[in-house]
Amino acid sequence: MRKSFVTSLGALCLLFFCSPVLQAQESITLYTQRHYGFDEKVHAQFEEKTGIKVNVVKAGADELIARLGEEGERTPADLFMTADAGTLTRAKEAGVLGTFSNPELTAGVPDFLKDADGAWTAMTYRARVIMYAHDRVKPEELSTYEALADDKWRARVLIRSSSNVYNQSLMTTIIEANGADGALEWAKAVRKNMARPPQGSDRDQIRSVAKGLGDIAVANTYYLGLLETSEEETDRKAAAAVKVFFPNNAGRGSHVNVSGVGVVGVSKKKELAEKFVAFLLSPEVQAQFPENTFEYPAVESIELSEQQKRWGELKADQVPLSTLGKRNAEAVRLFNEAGWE
Amino acid sequence: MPAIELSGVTRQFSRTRRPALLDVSSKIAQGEIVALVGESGSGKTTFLRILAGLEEPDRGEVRIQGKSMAIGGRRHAFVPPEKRKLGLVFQDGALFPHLNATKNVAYGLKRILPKQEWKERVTECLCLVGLDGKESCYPHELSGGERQRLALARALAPAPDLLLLDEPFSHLDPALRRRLRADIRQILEGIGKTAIIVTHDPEDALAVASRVLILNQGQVVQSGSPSEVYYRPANQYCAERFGPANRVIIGTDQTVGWKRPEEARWIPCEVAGEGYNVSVLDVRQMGPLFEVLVQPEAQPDDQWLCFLKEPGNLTAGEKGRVAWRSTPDPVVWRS
Amino acid sequence: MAVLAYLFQPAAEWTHLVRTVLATYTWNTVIVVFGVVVLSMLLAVPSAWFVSRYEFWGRDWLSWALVLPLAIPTYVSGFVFYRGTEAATDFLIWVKLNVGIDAYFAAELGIRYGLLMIALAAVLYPYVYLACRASFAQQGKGPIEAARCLGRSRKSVFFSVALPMARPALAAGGLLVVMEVINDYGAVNIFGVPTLTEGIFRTWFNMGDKVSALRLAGVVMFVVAGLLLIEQFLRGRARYVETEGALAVPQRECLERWRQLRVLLWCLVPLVIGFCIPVIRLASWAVMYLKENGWGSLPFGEAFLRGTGLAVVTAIVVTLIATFFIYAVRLKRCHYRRCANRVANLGYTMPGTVVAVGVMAVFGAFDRASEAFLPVISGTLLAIAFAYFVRFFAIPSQLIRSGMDRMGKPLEEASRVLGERPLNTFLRVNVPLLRGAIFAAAMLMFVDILKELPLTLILRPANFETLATIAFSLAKEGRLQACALPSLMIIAISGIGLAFMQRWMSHLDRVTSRKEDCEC
Repeated sequence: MRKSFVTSLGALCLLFFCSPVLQAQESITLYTQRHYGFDEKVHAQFEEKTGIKVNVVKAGADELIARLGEEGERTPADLFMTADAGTLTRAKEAGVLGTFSNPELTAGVPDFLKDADGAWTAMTYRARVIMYAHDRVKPEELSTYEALADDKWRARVLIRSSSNVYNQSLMTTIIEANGADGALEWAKAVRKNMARPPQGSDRDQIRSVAKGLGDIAVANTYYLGLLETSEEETDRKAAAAVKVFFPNNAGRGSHVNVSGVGVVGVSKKKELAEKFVAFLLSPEVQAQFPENTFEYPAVESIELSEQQKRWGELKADQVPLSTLGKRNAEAVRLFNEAGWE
Repeated sequence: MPAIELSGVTRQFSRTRRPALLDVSSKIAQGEIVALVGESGSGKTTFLRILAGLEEPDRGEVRIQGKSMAIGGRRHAFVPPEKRKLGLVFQDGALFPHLNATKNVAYGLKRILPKQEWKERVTECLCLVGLDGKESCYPHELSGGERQRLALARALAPAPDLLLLDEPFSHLDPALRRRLRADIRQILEGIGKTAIIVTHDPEDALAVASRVLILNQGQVVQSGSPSEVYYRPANQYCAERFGPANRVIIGTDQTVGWKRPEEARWIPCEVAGEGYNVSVLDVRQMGPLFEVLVQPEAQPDDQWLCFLKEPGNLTAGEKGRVAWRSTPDPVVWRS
Repeated sequence: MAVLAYLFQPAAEWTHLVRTVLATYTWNTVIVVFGVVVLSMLLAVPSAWFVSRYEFWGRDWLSWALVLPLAIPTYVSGFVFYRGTEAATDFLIWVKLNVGIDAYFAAELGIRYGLLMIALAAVLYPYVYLACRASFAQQGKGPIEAARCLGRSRKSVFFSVALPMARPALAAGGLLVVMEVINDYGAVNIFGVPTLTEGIFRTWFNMGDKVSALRLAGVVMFVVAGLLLIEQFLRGRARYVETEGALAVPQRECLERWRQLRVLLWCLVPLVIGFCIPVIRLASWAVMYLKENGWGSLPFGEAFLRGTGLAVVTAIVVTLIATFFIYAVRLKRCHYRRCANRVANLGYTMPGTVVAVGVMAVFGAFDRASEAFLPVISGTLLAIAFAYFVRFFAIPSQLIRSGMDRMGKPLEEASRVLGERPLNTFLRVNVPLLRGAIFAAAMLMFVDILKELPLTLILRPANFETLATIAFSLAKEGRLQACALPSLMIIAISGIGLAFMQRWMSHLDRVTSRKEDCEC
């Protein structure tokens, strides 16, 4: 009895552990950081159109880079997708990304939204903006990111932790514009102006502004769109209580970051992978992003959604995003120095 | 060929402590029932465990039935316990709590006998120890004495060449102990096996064993028949293993002898004759006997305890003489 | 070991870290760990005492129900309790407007840290509870009755005899809590309390400095090792275990009505905080979600099967290996084996992500070496299973070792003398006798794997989702209502598992030792 139990257990284990290896259909494998339900619909559309199945591994961007590095040539991954230009640049520097064989592929995407060497391209971008409680703050009081350091915002600013990559990339633009010393001063002042120690998600910052804990929040645009269409009524109310202000519109423009994708260098299915990238950049898919994830489509000339039009005119900071990724470690170091948790 | 032969066996658990066994050499003949006696920490349990193969000697050699079982410092020469074919009865029985009486006894049989035979053997062994009718009881459903007898049955079942018993009677009340002791002696005599009993109770040793080994600080200090070790202890340590003993300096050459309290005889002052002059310190009645504590005049450092049947009306302070009966010849209690 | 090697390499950012954030990380870690441990003891010890010593209405089901909060992952309790800070918003605004900004900051800090500690303690206290209950049940009546005869009251007996005697259990349970807290990433992140673990992530991934990150991991391990040493030192030579009659279940004392009520209320507190509040909250979200989306929108059938399957298989295999391993260590008390044991337990003190990257490196190297004749292992379930093994090996090994230590050596020796080889002895004596501990270990492993997040996220093969990863990605999207359903499913599966384990174990207790009924 014992022997047969052990044998059957062993057989079961073998079957179980080997099962994912056995797959027949033509497919590509995508390592992605994006957790949006909408992405799965896009994958389904792709499979419907081309018959190619998209296998997905979702995890943190840096963990995925580490995994790609460790797997080396035997990686099953063909594509790498993240929601931050910094990690894409890091992936490129780690040598895991190849280049697109055809520059025409990303022709519709403005230069500052893609890698100069063609290692990755944005598929969407989002702006990191100021959201203010429209009953307490007049838009005239707001101007730039730098102005958030002003004393009048003492205990009124809500912004999340510096561990978050969106804040880190915002910081890199501040460094780019004001130098490291200026950025450090700015971070210290903003930290002082916070309505509470940094915590929670962008969504939580917006909710807290609506509740009156602070008066302005720094958050990504699409979070407002998601709250406006939330399943929860309190979220919809919170979204109605704030308005969007695009900072630095008079100057360099608001800070934007991308969701981007690149082809894994050692992939054996580069052709299929590029087909998928082309599909992501095709008008039919691009047109769906504003309505579903409230991100700005990377390809110019795509119609924006109602909400996005209502938020106002976005002037994007044109600094090439790939250069920002290189300053990431510096940004984190400055945050550490400034005591911004 | 001796059943067991130890030569120069030493076992040291850690460098800082003194050895549990130090250079012990001993032979035990076939069919002997040997009691190992000594105070706790004297090495008697280690002695047993080295025989059983549960400890390895650091130095020296162990031979059982003429075959070498372990040689100190040579790992490959070590025969593991399961290959030594001996029976061991543990202090608390060490019965398997998840098995009933039958299965406990059958534990060592299943591997060596086919099913029908081991069933018979189990029944036989349980009968031998008087546990028939309790086949399906679990250890916790048995009384203390029954558990010990079950442990004995389990050890006897595979018909071992050698039986080792580690304090088999501890944790039992006196009456039960007496009965079980008798049972075990009968059983051991019946099957004629060589056996070694570790015990700290003098009565166990004297009643069951044919030979007694006294251990002190890891060394054998005396070996002899029960009456020999009882009446002619080699030193104070050996004497004290078996109850109170009185140091008596005999004759003019100042040799030291040991006398048991029951060997004393009281001689009043007015009666002339042999004996040592003493004065009485204390008198107490203990059942049929009187315990009399006396102070010998020639040995101011000692006090003697005497068990007297009819001391008359002795009182403290009284003077008289104590004579010691000549020690009976060493008798082999059971041949 | 790989981690240790890194400690002595030059690290680019290390001095920067020491200068800026190390103190904050360490301080936060110490504060949170301390608070959570104290809170868990407050929740666990009284209820464990009452359940094992007194007979009152509801005792039977409470004694196993109190373990249920273990089924709730810390990240789930984190986001449920974080919602509690919103309830305090109005109060905070009032403070801000009426008392002053500094008071407001202090109040905000207090509420946040307090809620974080509650959120963690509420689901981690069962570790202490389990250890204490076992200890109280084993203490035997002797010392306690002796103390009562010496004129001590019930309460004073508890503090002067029972509690000190339960110290090893408190320490063991407390240590598990400490490790869980130190490794927690979800809850502290939600509450915005950067601990050393968050520091590791940040340094490694955002600053790209692996060496400094691993040094931080080293600091964590040293802290844990230090705690262990302090415990051993404090324990000194005193012994706390009564070896004789350890199996006897002490008779439980009956209580008058109003005392029964009081005791019952004491025991209900942890259950309500740790189980009822989160579950009710999740359930209400789940109902809201289902109302809007209907049952058709449940995509977790496959995740349920795969995740649970993986957890079951891995738990069984790892537990078996652990049992075997412990027996091997016990058989030969060689030094290198004991060291191997220590090292294996270190996995539990390392954050999941560190383990994951280490495992990736190992399999990467292995794959490179065996390219010619073996299929790729990286990115298969085998790699995940191995990572679980590294991460959670301490659980079965601790449980089974304590079971084996309690068993005493003579049974094995008896078996050896009766002619069984060590392997057969193991199968015929140790395994059947330890089946309770083995089962409990497998169950705890199962629950832990089901909840596990960072390892699974990083190492899983393509399209592989477990309930935890689904719950996590929904929570990350901020869809709390949708996230409630898979979270509830995790809780339900592990809850059923835990309840089953508890019932079965108490059944075992009843079989092996005669239960004296309380004559009320």
